[in-house]
Amino acid sequence: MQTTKKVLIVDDEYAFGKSLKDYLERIGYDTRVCTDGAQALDLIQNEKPDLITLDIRMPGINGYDILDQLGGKPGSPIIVVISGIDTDETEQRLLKMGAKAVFHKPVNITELVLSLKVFLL
Amino acid sequence: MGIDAIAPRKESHPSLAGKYLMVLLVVWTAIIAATFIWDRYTMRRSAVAEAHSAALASYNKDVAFREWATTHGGVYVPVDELTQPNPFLTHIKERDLITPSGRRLTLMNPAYMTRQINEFFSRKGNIFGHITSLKLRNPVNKPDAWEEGALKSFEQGEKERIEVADINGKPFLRLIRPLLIIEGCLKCHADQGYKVGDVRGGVSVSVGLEPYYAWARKVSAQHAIIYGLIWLFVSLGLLAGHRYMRRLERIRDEAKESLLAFSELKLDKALSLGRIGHWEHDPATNQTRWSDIMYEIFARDPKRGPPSLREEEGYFTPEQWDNLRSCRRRALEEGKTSSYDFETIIPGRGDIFLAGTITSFQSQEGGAKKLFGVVQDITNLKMNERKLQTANLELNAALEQLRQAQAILVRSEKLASIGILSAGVAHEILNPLNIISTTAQLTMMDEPQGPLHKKMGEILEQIQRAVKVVKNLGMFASKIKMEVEYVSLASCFDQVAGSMVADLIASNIIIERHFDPATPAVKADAIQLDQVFAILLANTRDAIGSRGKGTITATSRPVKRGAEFIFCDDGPGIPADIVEKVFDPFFTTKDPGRGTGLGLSIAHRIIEAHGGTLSVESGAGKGACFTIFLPKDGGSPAVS
Repeated sequence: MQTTKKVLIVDDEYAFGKSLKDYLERIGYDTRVCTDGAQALDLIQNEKPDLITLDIRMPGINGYDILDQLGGKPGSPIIVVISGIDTDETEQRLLKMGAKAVFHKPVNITELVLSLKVFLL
Repeated sequence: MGIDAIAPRKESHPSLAGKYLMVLLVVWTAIIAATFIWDRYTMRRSAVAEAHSAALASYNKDVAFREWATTHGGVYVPVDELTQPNPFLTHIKERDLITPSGRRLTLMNPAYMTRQINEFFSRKGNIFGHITSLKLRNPVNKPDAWEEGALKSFEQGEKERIEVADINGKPFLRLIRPLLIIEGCLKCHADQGYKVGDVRGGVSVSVGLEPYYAWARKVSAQHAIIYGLIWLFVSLGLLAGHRYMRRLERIRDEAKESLLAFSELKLDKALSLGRIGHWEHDPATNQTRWSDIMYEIFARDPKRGPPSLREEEGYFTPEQWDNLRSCRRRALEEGKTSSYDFETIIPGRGDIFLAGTITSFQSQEGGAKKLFGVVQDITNLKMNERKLQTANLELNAALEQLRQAQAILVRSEKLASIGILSAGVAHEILNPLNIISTTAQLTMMDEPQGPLHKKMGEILEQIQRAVKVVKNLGMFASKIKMEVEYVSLASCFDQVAGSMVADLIASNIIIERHFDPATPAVKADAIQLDQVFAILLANTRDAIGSRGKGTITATSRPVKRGAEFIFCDDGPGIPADIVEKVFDPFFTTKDPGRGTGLGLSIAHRIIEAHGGTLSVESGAGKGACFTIFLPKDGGSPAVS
């Protein structure tokens, strides 16, 4: 039997994280939401999520910092960036740092969920 | 001297002093001659008068001797060889006497005695006495023709007769006076019927004039020397005076001439310095003078002399020639000064500009009016004027460019500050939009149908619109990342127009292409350029759309340092008061909801980022023309 995949949503906008979490849980993912970079690193350490959705602009430790620590390291979760910063340059940079995909706000939920499903197969 | 003196120098006219000298000399000579002749005549008369005195003295002496002898009733003298008894006195008693000593005496009557004295006397000098009568006793005393005439006239009461006559080829003064009967005469002549007071005869005296004349000649000769000396002296004085006057005249003439020459020289020099040609024409003699500068201006060999009227005509167009002739006519007939200004072609010099003035003047010597004119080559002046005009135009163009550049700069700064502002705002807006969007999407998933689903769809549409604005604003904030390559503007345009072809057809828009194949490719980001063309096409489509049909004229052409693409439509155009604002962000004339007002400012920013320019020309009802200039080797991001 398939183990339940763990997803961590890192976004300083809780309302967004909460909405996404509700949906992901409904479709069968063990989902948690975190609005703070430092807390996110703790949770990743402890909970070992399979995939994290990562916001870039956050107070304190931001998306880049987290990518720096985790990006491309063995045992690290799959990282999908959901960012408001929308330029080709940043997108390339994020992918290089280890992001699996980059989504732009406002996110198309259908596309996002489809990608998550693919990455978590 | 610059002037060719073709007219001969005027003859130096005979001076006034010269004329006077001749007259004075003639008059003076005439006076001297007349005086001399008068003097000579007087001398001759004096000679005759002297001779007359001598004759008179001789006559008186004769008469005195006669009277003395008569008073004594004759004189007895010894008879000798010379004095024989007078045969005509035979009727006288005691004609012959014998003195007691035996000497023979004979009576000499006065006539006999006088004749003998005169014979003696004539041997002494040149005075010859002669007694004569019409009633002769002695035929020796016979009168000659003149004496006879005189004797006859004495009987009529004349007292004296004088004449100058030649005797034996020599001049003589002859004088004859009557001899009257006195008491003593009757002793011998009573038998002839005389009574006292009758004219018995005449005593004539002939004085040789030769010595008197010689004296007169001698004195005359002396006088001639004196007269000659006086004549010479005065003539020399006159001559000297004349020479002095001539010299004065010459000095005056020379001064006048040199003054004239000097002023002519000065005029010539002044005009030469000013590169002004001058000429003179005498209509009376049809002679023309040209100054050196004239030959230079008309590129004519000075050796050829001034041109004939026909040659001169060749320098000008018929209208110019007419104009010149009327200037000349006005100068001659009305004394008016006229100026002209021509552009003409002179063989050997090409296209030149001439300015001239024609006037007339009365020469000092009088006579007919002469034409005088000056001509100046103002080609350089005109050329400079034209250069100045061109420079002025260029300056104005540069100024206009500067104004445009300034406007662009202002606009760029405005856009940049908007970018900085919007970058901060974008994130803050995107987050709530993201939440709303997510919520709406999830709601739609929960409600696959029905009114709620539909409403959520509408919410999502509006969110997309808001997101578009935010993202466009983001473009001003960040650098435009460009991947440059050589791009053909024409093919870039064609590609975009092709992708929009359905849209354009639906709006009844026709595209006319004027692509110059010489237009160079430019270094640019093709995707960005696509965006620019898409913006321009969409704009035009929206502008023309309301009218139902329209034409887009797309032109590409090479320009200095790059390529130009001109995009014109025949739409409603942009009113002049807002044409400057079309590149401002959020400026739109479209209906609310149809445009963000960012399209043209984005297009502008892209072109600027390539180092090019985007400008617009339009007016209400005139359509709009957007001109894109891109440098050949631009493409380096210029705006951050």
